[in-house]
Amino acid sequence: MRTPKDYTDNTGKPNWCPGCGNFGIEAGLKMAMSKLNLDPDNVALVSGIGCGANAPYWFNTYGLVTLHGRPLPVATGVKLGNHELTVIAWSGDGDAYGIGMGHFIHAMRRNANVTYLVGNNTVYGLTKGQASPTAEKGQISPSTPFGTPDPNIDPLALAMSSKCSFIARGFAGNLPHLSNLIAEGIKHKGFSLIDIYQPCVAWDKTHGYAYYQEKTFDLATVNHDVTNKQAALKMIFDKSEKLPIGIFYKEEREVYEDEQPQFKRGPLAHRDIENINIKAIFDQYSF
Amino acid sequence: MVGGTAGEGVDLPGTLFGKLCMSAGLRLKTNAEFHSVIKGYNNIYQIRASENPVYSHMSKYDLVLALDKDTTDLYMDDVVPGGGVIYDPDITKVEREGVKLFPVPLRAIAKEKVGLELAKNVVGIGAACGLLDYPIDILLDLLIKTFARKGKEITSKNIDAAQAGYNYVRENFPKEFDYIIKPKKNPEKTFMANGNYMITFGAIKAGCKFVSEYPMTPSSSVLHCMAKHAREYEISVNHVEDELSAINMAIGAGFSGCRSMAATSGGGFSLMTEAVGFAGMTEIPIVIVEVQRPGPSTGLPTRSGQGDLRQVLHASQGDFPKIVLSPGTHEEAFYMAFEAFNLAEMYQCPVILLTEKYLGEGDANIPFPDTTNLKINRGQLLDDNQIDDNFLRYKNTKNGISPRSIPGQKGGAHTASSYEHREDGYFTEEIDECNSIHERRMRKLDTLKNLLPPVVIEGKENAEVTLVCWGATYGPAYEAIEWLKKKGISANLLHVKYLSPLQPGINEALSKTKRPILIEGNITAQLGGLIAEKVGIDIQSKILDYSGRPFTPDQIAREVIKIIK
Repeated sequence: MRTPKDYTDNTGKPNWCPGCGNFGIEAGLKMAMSKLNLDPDNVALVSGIGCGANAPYWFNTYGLVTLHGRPLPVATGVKLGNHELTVIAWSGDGDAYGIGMGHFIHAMRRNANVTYLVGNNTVYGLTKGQASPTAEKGQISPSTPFGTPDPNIDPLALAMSSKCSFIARGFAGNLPHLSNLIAEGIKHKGFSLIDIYQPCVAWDKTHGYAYYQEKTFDLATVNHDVTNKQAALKMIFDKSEKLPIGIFYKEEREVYEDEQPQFKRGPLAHRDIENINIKAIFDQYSF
Repeated sequence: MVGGTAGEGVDLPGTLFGKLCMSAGLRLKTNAEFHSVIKGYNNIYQIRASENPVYSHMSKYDLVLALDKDTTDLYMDDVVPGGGVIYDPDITKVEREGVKLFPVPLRAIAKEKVGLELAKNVVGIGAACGLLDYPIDILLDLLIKTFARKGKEITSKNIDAAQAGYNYVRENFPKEFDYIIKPKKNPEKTFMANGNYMITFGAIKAGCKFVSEYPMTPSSSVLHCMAKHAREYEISVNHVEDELSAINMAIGAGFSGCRSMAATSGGGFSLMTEAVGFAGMTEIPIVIVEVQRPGPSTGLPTRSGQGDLRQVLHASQGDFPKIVLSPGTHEEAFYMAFEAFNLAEMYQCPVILLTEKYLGEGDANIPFPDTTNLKINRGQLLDDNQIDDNFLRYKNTKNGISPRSIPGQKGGAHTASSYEHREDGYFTEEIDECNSIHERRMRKLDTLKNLLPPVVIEGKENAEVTLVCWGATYGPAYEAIEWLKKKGISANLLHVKYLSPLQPGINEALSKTKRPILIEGNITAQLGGLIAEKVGIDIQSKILDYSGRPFTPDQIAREVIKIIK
């Protein structure tokens, strides 16, 4: 069996701020990988742009640091190119819910077997703390000195309406819980969204570790039925007192690549492409 | 030429007539001019057919089938003396001397015989068949094949309509038209496809296994053709949410080791631009097909143009290697698409196949391309046993090309990053490391440039004028040579096929010419500017057409004469 250390690339060390929530996500992902005993050579970790997006450098898996907002299409392409790989995409909230919002919604309805980790800290950390789409109305930031004028978006509610087949939320400060959640997401057949509360120690002093430790509770402790859409929506929208973490909703439905006969004979990337008979196609158009 | 109103079926009689010519063993080329609407407005479908290969459509017509009044109002001056016009006397009148008029009550016949006015187009094509003295059985057979999926009733109605049109003409205008279609003896077997289909076939032959696209006229038939054959050839074809997704997904598939492709037109390419640089930086092979229409912005969505050369050459911030090639003919579209996939893997960079609506959506029938010399070349993609402990994905090499591994291969794991990085893929901002990899990437273009075939001058040496063009302007320019010859002017042709790196030999070729004349479908002579920049020769004479309509040989000949006289 592999241990979390077996997924570490020792070329360099993470350059996140001390105490950054990304350390928790990194550790949680490595714990999940070791729990599932994944072969690092069969894993593709695809990130966008942001603090967390540097993560692939510190994993010994195949990695892709893409463009801001584009990890999901790239990850989907990797998965469809070789559907035997475990493909994990990693974004921040700006990457996923700002510039990449279009892809987010379509990836969920497409339901390719990709796991999506989104570090949600309500700010753009790498560009010095501007408010992200998950910041609540009124949040003061360098780009919104008088408070953000827009109300926040709710990614989990969007996920529900976009037919996402696995909807979960974790907390970067609760590793046993987060690593289980990620492992469940990877095991899930279809697209899995794991939004992760992630303190930004540099730019957001109000949502620190203590805040989330105090506010969050595990859905598993309240008999939440993960197959019940109404129950899931209630948990997503009810933020009156405590913030639930865990699996909100889960369903088994058709996986994009599994439905298409093209994929049946193994990864497309491994096909023999010598001597493809193109004459057969010319014949079809000679009438 | 068939002219009619959008939504009333202009394509059907056009393609049927094309197939009729094909069945007679003729070679043909088509061009459709239509408005960016689904219903209303006059559309035309031009077919040129000959016993010999045809390279271009023409601006003059031997026979016009006018399904609406606009067609007779707009195009009668374009009928050649002795040519003919089939029109419906119930909707339009035609007065034109020296042209044979064939009034056929298309609507009335359609209504009477099949109870459906819409069938007038098939009545019309039956009438054309009769006038040209071509066996109706062949047309009826084509109709059976065309409507096979729509059921017996629809098929028989169309057969009745065609037969009625044919009979009407045979009774009322027996042997009145000087043109006939004479079947060629032992014709070469051909197949019919538009340029987009030819590109698709080349891609399939090259082993393309992944396509993602967002529909955009005039590139959509790449997506349609790929989707149609996706299961037969086991290709993942994806109609995705936008062009950003299309290209990024194709890049992801390229990273996984699939040969992958995205197709679009100028506007969609603008959206893809950032990712073109991403593929360049991460050195992930990808083929992008750009089928040009006139811009800027939405421009003329259904017309043709060559205004995107500079856009694709300069796409994305920073310097990185990018290969741009542009086919002149249907055959070349097939071969170049195949080549594009080899180049993408050999040089590990984005390859852009630049074409235009004229070729992309224009049909031609061509003999089966010889594929015996088409060999797959995957460049430095390593086998599992070639990956050792010293593997560096972005290794500094003399020719600029690094070894490449794909996910799943033992020992080949690396991070492909859009940030500047070292030989091992790890990010860096160290000056020497940054310079070294930047220079190494750019060296790939030098390597390629030395291997590209130099340009060739087609036609007579020492000609009075040399027509210089790129893309599908090749066809009309090639035929213009014959037109100029008839006027006593000798001309030859220089067609530039590789735009980045710019094809070698242009300097030598131009130095042998007496009077080069640029022919381009844009307003700024973009190829001319590129030649001036890279070769140092500023071609002064230019024929530029940015109307959205492709050149015709007679137009080029006319303009050349204006320039030299």
